[in-house]
Amino acid sequence: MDASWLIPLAPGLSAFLLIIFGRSLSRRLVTWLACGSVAVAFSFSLLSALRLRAAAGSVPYPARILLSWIRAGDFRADISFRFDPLAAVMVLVVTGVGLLIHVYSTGYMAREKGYARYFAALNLFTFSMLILVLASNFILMFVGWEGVGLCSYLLIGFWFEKPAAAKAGMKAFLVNRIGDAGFLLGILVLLFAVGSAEFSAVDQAVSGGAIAKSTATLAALLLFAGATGKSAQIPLHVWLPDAMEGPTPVSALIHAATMVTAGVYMVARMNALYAFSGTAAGVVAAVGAFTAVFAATIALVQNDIKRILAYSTISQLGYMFLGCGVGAYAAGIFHLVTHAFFKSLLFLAAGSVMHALSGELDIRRMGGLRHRLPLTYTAFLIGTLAIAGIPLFSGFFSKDAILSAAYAGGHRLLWAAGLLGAVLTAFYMFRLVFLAFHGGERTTPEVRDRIHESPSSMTVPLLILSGLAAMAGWIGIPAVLGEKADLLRRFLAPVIPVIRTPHAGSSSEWFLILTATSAAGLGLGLAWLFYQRWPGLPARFAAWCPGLHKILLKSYGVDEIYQAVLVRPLVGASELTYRRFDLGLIDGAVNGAGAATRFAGRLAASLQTGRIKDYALGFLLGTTIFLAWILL
Amino acid sequence: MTALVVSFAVFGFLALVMLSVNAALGPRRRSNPAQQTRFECGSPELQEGIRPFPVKFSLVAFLFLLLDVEAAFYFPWALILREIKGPALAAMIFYTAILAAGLAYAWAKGAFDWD
Amino acid sequence: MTLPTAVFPLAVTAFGAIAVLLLDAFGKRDSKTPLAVLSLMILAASAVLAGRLWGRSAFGFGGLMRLDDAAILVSMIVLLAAAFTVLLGWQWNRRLDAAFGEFYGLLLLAAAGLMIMAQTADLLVVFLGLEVFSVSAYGLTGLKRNDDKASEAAVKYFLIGSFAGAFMVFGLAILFGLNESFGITQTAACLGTGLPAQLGFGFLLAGLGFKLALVPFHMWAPDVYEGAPTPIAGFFSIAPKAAGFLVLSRLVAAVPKDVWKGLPIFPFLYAVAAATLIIGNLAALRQKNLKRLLAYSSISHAGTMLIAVLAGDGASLLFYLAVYLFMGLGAFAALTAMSAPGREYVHLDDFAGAGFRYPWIGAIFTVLLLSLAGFPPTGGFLAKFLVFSAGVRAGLVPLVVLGVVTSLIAVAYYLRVIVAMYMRDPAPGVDIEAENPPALLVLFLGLVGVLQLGLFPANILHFIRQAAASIF
Repeated sequence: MDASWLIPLAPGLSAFLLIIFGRSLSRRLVTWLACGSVAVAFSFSLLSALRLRAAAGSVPYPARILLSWIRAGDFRADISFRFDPLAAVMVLVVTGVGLLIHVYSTGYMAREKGYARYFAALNLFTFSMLILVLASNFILMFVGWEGVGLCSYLLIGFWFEKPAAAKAGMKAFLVNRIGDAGFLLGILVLLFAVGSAEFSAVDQAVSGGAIAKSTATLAALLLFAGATGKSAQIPLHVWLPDAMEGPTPVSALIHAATMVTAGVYMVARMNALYAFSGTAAGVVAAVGAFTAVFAATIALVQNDIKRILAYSTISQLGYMFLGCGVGAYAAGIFHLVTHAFFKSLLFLAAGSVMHALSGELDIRRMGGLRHRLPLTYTAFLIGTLAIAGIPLFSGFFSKDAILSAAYAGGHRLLWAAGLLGAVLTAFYMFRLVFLAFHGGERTTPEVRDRIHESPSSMTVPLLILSGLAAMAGWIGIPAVLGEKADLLRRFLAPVIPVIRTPHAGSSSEWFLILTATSAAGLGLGLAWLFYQRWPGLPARFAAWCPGLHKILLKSYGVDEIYQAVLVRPLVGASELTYRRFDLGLIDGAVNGAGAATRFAGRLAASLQTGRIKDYALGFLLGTTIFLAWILL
Repeated sequence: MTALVVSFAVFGFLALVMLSVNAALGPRRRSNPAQQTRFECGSPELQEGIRPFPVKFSLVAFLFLLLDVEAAFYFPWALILREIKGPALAAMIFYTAILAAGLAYAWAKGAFDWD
Repeated sequence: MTLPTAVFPLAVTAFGAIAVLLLDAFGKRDSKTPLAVLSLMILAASAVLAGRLWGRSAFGFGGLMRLDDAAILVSMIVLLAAAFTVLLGWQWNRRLDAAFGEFYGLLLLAAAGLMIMAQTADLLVVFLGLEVFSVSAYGLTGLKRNDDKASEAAVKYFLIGSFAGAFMVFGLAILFGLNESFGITQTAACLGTGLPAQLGFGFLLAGLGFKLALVPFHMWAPDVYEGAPTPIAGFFSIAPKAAGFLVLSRLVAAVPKDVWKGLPIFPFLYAVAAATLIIGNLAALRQKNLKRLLAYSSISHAGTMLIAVLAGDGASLLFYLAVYLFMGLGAFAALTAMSAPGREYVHLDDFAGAGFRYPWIGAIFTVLLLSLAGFPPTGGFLAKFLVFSAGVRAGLVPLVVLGVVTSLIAVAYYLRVIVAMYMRDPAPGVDIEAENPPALLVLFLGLVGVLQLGLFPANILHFIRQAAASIF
């Protein structure tokens, strides 16, 4: 029996129970409920995925209608799921990584007073994310889309006593809403053009030529606006670095492994639409490549361990979009999977460092930790090797898949940008490793005395993720190394036609592998020179071009620009509206005197200051404008 | 009808012009001491112009006016009573009952109690 | 003389109102609770009588009454709103120094006025209903006689309201002069004939726009909401909108589709919708008083509903109204629940930390605010979605874009309330009397309604489509 529709059930139920009864449950019960529900979801996912693999793609994947939701004339939307290979991959990542991070959280958040609240939100997030990836139409996807945004907001602001956390949550939410507005408009455009919000109907309309190219481009670009918001691409990337105010496991799950990849998933899901509208695909690729380099340069100079990882996430998401944009949707999803493993590993390891150092985040006050935290160090190193694209680690294969597709598709500029990004990635990641784990100890003595390795609930997930980060690349071995080794792409073939992926010949494939490897090596070597061999070099560089250093440190001042160009004018407009149109009742207490005379006096006063007159005038003005309208 | 429309436009425009000219040319200050005096022209007033008087006056006046206006409906009714007879009588009794209810309400609420 | 059954729902409410007023005047009892019970019974009886006429489109009084399905649906909304308001006022009327029996009588009368508006196809009768509602509304606004703000609000409402009434009468006079008829169909038919008809229609719209609080006829709304008792403000936010928008869509529906977009009225209403969306949302951003905030929020929602009217899509309009009944009145129920004897807490600071101190009120209020902001899977999202997709289908793309963008801004001010409730330390000196079961019942019903309409709208949409089909 197909049990795929049961996957979101357990986390949803658990979230509901935790929201309602969370306060009165014991911690033990909360732990079991939260982790157990995700474990159930994971086993359901695994069973369904195996079943899908056994069926071997010959069957069409029917949408399973759970509930007929809206029926308004010709328009209908249902609560219906479709479990196809793409959904299977996503569901496995969400529940698998989610499970590990739930377990990790039980250790990391053990002493928090909002323990139940935390897990309620985390379960709710898992539930929403599963809805998002399982939905068979845009409207239900939007439900999940908004749901994950809401949970992300709740979890970023988890420590709401910290003003920065509350503010960061708000910012994430509002920036996401800008993207969501585009997403919603995109859905409306598709609904108007296709007459249905079902993914399959859109695909059919595209392949059947029932939709004009310009309309398809418009819809695809609007949808991509939503993706830039959720997946923190330029110009809506500003919320993700601030989102690091949330608890670290949240950063690992939501802001690295799952939610931020929703945009990539959506683009891959709509691959027919993007492939049809060449323009939209080009925009996706360009934005992705630019973001990949842009965010990587910022990461070069940051000192906050989590912010470095955040900018790295933005940059890696850029790679995924680059892959999708050049037509290698499967490669984009491949990188999504490996990134989920190695980035959550990096975040969890960083969390373990913070746990050990009493919450220290600044890498300038770390150093030499590899002796004190050997396990964490190993995990972090594996993650770094993977993300930097060192051969045989997972990131190498997925990044190579993207770059070779860009190269084979003839997008040399995009390929070069990707390569540059790879150098930068290797550089900033090894800078992080060298500064935090190697060299002399720069921790303060009182912190140093309390350094301890984390409990097993935290280290076991680290170990498992290390294994995945190291070896997950084997599901997508390039064709030159094995004829049928490209497992993931063949698994996804029913959803993402193989034809769509540009393919390089075997000689250029070897060339690409070589360049990618040397790019990683170059970054690693430079980092070693800068931070191991000659530690004085970075400061000299910063002194050499202080402007550039400052701009990078300030993340190119994008926040300030938005503040000046968008936020202040909006606040100003609101202020103006408030002054002009909101006159209001007279406030403030007058003491003494009887209420009646007071009122009479005030009424007179209010008449004299012309408030009622103003109201009537506004009324008259409106009518006059209308009269003028008809006459002219 | 066009004349009506044009006159609307003209007078509406004139009103706007006057208001805006007033706003543009008039003094910024809304009032001055001379303006605050009763007659705004310097002649001293002999006594307070308006003295407070009980609100009951206006209440009674209001109620009187209300019932008076409603009574105006009886005249056309009387003219056609012969033609319609029964239904007209029934309708007017119904109408009067509602009026009476209103009067009774006002009474019970103490609208006619002077103290 | 036979009485048509069409008149029964209205008659029950109207005479019920008179009965409640008289009982209040002559009854010796200090407790107003029996009046509340009686009012609820009257409203229920009226609703049952109206419901029995569903699908039968009853007419009466030579076409002056038109009780079609749309009228029945809107009457149901008005009656339900009145019933919610009675429940909200229950405790309020026991709490203040003087209990006001007029609360119930005038409320029923206001509901009767709105039902008159909804149940007719004659513009003069619309005006009659509007005035019945208005006069009761002025009284309801100034119910707290000893409160400065209430009195000021009532006087303002009355003055501007009369002004609007005069505009409307003038418009009606012009239209009658052209047609020698007040019938909506006849009036609409003459709309394309020339300038004078446009003029009359414009004045009529100004009067209606006042009741619907559309920009630029909206300025009274925040003041009146602030001054009026909270439950009454809740009633004002939904009930007049339901009746007024029904009248407006009856007018629009009666104009032939091809004529409609060529009329100068169309771009005017277009501009009004845009201005309502912009000003309503921008002004709300600055509000610290939650009653004013909700007032501006209701203005912006009226802007969205106007999109549905412009698109000529009755179903999405009626659905929006149904959802707004629950989320709008639910939000006011939360404000009502947040009060103590003789004190209302309406300032944003009063809500600081309220989510933790009063978890149930906080949680439900949060859901209602999210629904107002248009979050899936609540009813608010679906309502907005249906309106927007109707707008896109009717080619109102710029307006829909504006609607989406302004609803983005709206999130900021709704969220601010949630942030205050959950992300700030409790305010000192705020101590509500949590024992307000009727208000909590309304709050709960609001939650149920919002979720029901958001998650399982199929049944209700079926009825709503049937009603929308009858608008013309």
